[in-house]
Amino acid sequence: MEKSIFFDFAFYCYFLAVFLYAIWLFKKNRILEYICTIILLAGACSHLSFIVQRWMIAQYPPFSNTFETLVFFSWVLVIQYIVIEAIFKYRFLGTAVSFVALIILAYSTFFPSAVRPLMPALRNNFWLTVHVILCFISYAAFAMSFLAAIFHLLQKRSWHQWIALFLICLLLSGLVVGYTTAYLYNSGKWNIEWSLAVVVQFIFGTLVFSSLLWFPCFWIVSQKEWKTSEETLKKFVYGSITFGFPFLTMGILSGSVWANEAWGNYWSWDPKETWSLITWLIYAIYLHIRYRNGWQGVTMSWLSVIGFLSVLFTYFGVNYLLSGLHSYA
Amino acid sequence: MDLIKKLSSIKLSIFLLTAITLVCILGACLEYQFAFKYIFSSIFFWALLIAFSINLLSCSYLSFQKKVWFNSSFLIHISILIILFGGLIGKGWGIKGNLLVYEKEGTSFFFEEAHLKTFFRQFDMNGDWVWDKKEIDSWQKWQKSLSEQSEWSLFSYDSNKDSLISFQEWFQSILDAPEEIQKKMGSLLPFKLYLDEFITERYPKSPKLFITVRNTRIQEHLNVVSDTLYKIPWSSYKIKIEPWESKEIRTDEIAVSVYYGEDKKTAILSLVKNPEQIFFEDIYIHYYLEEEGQVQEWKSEIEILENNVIAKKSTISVNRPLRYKNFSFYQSSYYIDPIKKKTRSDLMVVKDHGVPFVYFGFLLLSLGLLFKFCIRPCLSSKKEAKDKS
Repeated sequence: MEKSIFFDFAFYCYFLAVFLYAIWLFKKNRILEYICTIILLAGACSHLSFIVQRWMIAQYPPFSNTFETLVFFSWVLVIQYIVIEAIFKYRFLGTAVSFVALIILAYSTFFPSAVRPLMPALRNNFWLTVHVILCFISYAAFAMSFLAAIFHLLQKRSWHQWIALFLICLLLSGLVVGYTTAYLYNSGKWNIEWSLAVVVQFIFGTLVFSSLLWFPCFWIVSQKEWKTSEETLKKFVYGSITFGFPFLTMGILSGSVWANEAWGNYWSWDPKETWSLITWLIYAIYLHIRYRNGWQGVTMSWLSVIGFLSVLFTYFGVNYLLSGLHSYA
Repeated sequence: MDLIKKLSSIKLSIFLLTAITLVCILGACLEYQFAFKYIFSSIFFWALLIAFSINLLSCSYLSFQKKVWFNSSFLIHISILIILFGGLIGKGWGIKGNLLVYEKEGTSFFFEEAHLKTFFRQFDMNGDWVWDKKEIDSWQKWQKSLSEQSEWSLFSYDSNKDSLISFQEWFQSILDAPEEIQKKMGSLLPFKLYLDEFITERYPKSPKLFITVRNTRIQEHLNVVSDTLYKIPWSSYKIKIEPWESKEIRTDEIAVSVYYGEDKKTAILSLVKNPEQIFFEDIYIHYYLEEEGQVQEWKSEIEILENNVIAKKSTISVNRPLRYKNFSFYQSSYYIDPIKKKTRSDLMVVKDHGVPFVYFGFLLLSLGLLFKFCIRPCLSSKKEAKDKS
């Protein structure tokens, strides 16, 4: 089983939700609110069906390769947002969450999705399942704190807004440049000889592309109508982090128990372990600073952004740039 | 008291957390072995951890003094201290080594990698070791000190051998050595481990499709599952394995359709003939049966012998270690010796009294964090709502 109709349906629902939530941001409307929620919920149900279907066919929890974890991450993100929307009635992140879920699903399709037999370390493993579930619950919470922090920074009429916007443009440009390069390389249309000079050219190209993207994005964020109260955003950033932090901790600890059961070593300073500790430390610093100084402003939003960039590096960067026990993850 | 207050300061905590984060980032960016040796085992890093422990201890002491010891922050801080204490016990008094045992043979000898790394930069248990002059000197010095106590010669370095030493040759000479030499080269278990059988379980061989697209780097191995549509990444092709008439697994012939836009072409592929089929000028499909199934499990059937009497029989596999008399044995690797024509099971030997402390710390930390960030906010928000009403 590869991708099924459930996967496609979830993808289209999220695609639709991005636009509907964007319209809602500028034109608040009660009926539109319901439509947005129903479409996102339908997408999440279909998404869950895909995960369950894959679990039944594969006969193991679908968290054992990049494709499966990306699909799960995207689903946890949407579900967490739906729960928050239902309890706290916060809808300002609808567009951003649907867009990120959509991007993650699209990105997952670049990885091998075939159900494959598991390697010995991943078979019949209770701790693996617990480890992955807890980690992704925390990653989704941190993703939402990141999005809310970016919203907060974008609302500031200062250099915070410009830099936050540039960061978003940089991430989007990175996606576009990365996808285009991968397409041209794999389809054989462009033979790239990788060297330092080529990497520098790529970085330069991405920066130029980000700068060009910055201007239209600046015009969009300058519109007043979409803005959300600063208090709500600050509360949201802090709430998401305090929710995600215990799950990240338990995720790291369960991974440590698994490592001890499989390799006789609960901590080996493997690059992925070290980066997860770095992420944990960054959020611990965030919580201590907030407790000590009562800071809630832009500094905390920036710290939240740094924390999530560390999550991204732990999840993706380590797999590509560093090797270790998690090389299959 | 003033000193304790200063040591427990949250400013100091933030400073130490930031310093540890920066050191970890530095260590994570460097090559793994180098970082482990020069960053995470360095005195500087240990000093940071000790300072952090003192900070946590002072903070916990003050909480205890103020009789607010039963709160979640106290629990979190104490649990981190317990984890660090457990780690310290493991580091200081724990044993970690490699026990290599051949099929139908028994051994109680194991060596520690850290010990061997004092001689060798490259450590590969299945290959040759490259020596440099410094390593040869330190090895010869070590060997000289051993030979003063015994007639036995461990190994003689031959400069004509291109500075290569076979691990097998080296290891066998240690296995043949007297007990007092073995004790100097590694450690001896108080019992013997006998490997009755080493089993490699494999998944059944399965039929696959190998897809390549001409003039591209696209190469895909697909599982053959009836009525499934595959999209070939980075191309406009889709491949469908047409439904089988019966539910029985058919491996001899399958019908495959290739879609390119509106176009569709179907062909029968035969496993027996094993031909390479060409569709749409560009796409190649190769239908084949795997040479051998993927590894499902490695198992070592072990007997523990005490005074040549079987004390325990057990199977060690990945994720299922054997525990006996405070020692744990983990399946780490295996090697088929071309000279001995036997399989060697590589087991990791661990004796760590710190693990129960670490696990207890894990439990307390999880409870403390859940209470502080999940349960308490829920309870206080409920209370607030009640007060308002």
